Amino acid sequence: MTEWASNIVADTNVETVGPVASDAFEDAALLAACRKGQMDAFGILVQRYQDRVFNAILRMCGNRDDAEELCQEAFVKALENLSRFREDSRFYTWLFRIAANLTISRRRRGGRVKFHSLDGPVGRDDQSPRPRDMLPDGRENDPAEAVAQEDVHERVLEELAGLDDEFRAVVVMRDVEGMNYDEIAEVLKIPHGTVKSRLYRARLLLQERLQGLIT
Amino acid sequence: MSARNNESHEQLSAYLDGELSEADAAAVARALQADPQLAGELERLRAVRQLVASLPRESAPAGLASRVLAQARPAGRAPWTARLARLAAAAVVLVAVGLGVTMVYYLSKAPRADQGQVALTDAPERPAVAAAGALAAADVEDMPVVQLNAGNRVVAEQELEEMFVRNDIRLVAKARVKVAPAGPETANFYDRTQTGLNQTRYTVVMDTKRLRQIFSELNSLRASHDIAVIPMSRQLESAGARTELAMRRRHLKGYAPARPAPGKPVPAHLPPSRAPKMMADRLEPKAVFGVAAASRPAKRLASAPAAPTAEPLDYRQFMQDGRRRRDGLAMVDLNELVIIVNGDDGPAVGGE
Repeated sequence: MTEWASNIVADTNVETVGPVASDAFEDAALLAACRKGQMDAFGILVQRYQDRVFNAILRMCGNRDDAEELCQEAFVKALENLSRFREDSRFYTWLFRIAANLTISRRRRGGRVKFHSLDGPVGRDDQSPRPRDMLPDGRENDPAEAVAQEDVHERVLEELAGLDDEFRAVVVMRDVEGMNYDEIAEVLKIPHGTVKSRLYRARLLLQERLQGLIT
Repeated sequence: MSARNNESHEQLSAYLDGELSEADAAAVARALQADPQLAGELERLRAVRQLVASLPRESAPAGLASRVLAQARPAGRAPWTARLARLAAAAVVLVAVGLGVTMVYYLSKAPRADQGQVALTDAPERPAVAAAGALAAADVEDMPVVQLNAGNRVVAEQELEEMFVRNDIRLVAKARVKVAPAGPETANFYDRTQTGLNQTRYTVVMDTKRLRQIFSELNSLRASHDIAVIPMSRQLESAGARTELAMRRRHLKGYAPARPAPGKPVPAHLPPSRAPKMMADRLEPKAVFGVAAASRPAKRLASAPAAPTAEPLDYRQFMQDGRRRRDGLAMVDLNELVIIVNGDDGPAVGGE
């Protein structure tokens, strides 16, 4: 991190302004530096939000390759359109809106969300490793439990991918990203009440489809 | 489920998320105490939420920030100093274009070689190679090249050539260039040579703006190809083609700058003090194509091969500062970039 960027972070009194306001303050300072041509300021913003954006896109599109591409595209688009960001919302909300729109547009162009099983396609006869084999070793510490847990995740991901776009988006934003209803409404440009009803209906659908996993 | 019932269940879901007003939340809490079935519904919704929330969090791929910065072209306003510098550069280009047009006008009236002058058709057939012609042979060994190791060479070549087309860089292989391109719009070209069974070499001459863009696009190709910058000599060793360097040296020697012999007659319409120098500059390959690679070779790299790195490739390694030249046609910085593509000529990736 450059000296000026370190100063921005160091000058922010987290105890006084609180974590959310602190993030917003740091974002504003980094954005101001970015607008003055300090490109590494945007690099810091990318590093700050890349994991959240990537994970959310991955859960919305269900495909790691697409998620990587969309994530990069979202940040590039954000940087190229920085002059249009009016700072009347949080930077992350604005960034997430770009990412969500890109993901939804991609799905409309490319058909339904493809769910990639950790075991790979059925009937594969090549010798390439299964996606499950490429998971970090830590997940294999207790093989029986890890496999059971992965089966649950796989099932949830499968049912999540089976939801319609508007339902999957609100579930990911709320239950994966932890956004509140106002933020979701702002990202998707829908009324607060619509967020509430879509979220309930999405959860109801998931509840029906995940019967065996819910005691 | 009735509309009223549906609405109350939506309230239940919002209650779970803590999104109700204090009064509404209190009402739902009372209903939950009075109705065990409703309480069961809340627990099932909670379980669903927990299942989704427990999905593992995945991290973004390494090097994302570098790739974003390499790919993006920020649209924000540049600082006033940068804008001023661009205005100044534009003014210089305009003046240089004017000078160039004047020179071309005068030179076009010069007599032919058989009348005691050297003809313009002495310009080399291979402009891209000629552009590098002024590099000393010793410099060639250390000249950095971009090496692209592709799973499928044909696909990689197609990607590269589409990239050139997008950037208005034309193929000129085997074309005989008789008249020098006069400006940046006409001076961007590439040459494609099959240098081995599984190897193709592209020599690209382009202005700095395009060089920057090409590197930006090359960096985005790194997701699918192994791309690195290595010295030419290392590439030759790895390709098992040591004779290539000797061939290249001989080739360059054939394009040694040609100057009119002392004592040649001066064009009648030009002042004697100016004409010989202008003709000589016009006939030097580097001057003809506005490439000033002669005085300063591109930044050298260490002799060790470049290990794969997450850092983006830097176009500045390939910049050659033409404005330091005194010849009038060096109004645009042209740069030479050699791209070696290695890979099998196999079936298309992703084919069924």
